Amino acid sequence: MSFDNVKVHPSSQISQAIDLYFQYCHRQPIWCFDREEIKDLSHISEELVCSILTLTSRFSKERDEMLHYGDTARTLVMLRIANGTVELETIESLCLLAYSSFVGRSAPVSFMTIRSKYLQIIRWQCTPWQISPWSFPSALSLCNARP
Amino acid sequence: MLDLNSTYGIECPSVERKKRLFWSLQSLEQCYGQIHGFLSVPADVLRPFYTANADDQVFQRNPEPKPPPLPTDEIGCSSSTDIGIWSLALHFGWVWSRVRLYVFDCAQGRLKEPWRHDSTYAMVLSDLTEIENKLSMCHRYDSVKFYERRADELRMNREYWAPWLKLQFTYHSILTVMNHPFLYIVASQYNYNLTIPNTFWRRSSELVLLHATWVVRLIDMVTEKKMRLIDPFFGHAAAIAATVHLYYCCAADPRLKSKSKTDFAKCRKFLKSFVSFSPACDSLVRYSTV
Repeated sequence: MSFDNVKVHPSSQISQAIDLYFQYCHRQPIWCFDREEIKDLSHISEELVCSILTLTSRFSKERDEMLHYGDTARTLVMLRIANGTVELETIESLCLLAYSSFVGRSAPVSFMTIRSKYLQIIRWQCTPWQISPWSFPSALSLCNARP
Repeated sequence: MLDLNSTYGIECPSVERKKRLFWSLQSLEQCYGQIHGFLSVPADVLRPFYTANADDQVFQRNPEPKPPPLPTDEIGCSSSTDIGIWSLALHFGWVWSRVRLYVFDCAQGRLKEPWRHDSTYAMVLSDLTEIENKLSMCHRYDSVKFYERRADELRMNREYWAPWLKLQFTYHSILTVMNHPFLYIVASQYNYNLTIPNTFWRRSSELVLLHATWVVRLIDMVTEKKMRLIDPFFGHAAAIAATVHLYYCCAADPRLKSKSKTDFAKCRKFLKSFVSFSPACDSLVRYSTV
């Protein structure tokens, strides 16, 4: 799978997902981007679009038809890692996917593994000699969502 | 690195976005992270950051690594020195993460008598009060008058009211859990000192009822204003308050008994509003069937 053959989603579906995101998820509790920062849909990365669709699909009437976005988002994040093209939006995607899994408590184990590997890769790339105590939420910790 | 203060001195157009992302991940860790998770941050490491005030130079003198600065958040602030409401909710969330650890320790049979000065109970309440002191007047319950606001006004400004409600629910849930009779009833089975009636028992039973009732009051207001909340933390808070009201359903006083039954039903109804999208809240509703 590559970036080119990702299933195309209608722009109306994306606009609706962004509206739902700002209605139900923005600053409650996660706060990644403000509306003006993603107003130009053509500039949002594919993995972030899929992550927003995944998180907000539970509030959409087309919920069942949107189930595949989670897999697509995770695959795209993995591709970013594998290709060494991780951007801020890639980590934002992980944040949204993590919250989505907490709300739905249906996170597959593979996602946790991806995240764990991702965090390790970031650390190796950036500061191989130092593990900061201000670390990201643990990949393992994501498995134990409460309530 | 997103997680080091030193990264944020560099000129970068997305610096605010990076700060928000880092602290968003922290907020998820506080409510949903695994206790003693692989990369969770010990309380002592973060305490100076959350509890230091403007006059306290200790944290500023500490060497690296420091966590990133808080994001710029001016909504509802009356002066440039006020901390934003989202960041304040994060501060209370840190105390909440310590309460979760306290319950975890209690379940493992590790509980120092809560009246001791070096107990987790005493330290958590001290941290909570330190953080409460950082809450500017402009964000306080009596100043913002949530209950007087119109529903459409609240809906238009969700980006302020959602974190404000999170803060309020977190505050009362912290005090509800720390004084929860179930914790001390269970602990008294293995700790003889806890079986001796003293002023702690009396005071904690008053506090738990007070704060569990505040949670119901907040639920009443949210329901009246038709404010739909999504974060399952709110459902969790309602379920905790429900256990307290369930306990007081057995009270000898008929008025307290009747009030507790009503409050229990309100908590359960509120919790049910999360069921359509939160399987965890669905489980809590099923557990609360009496």
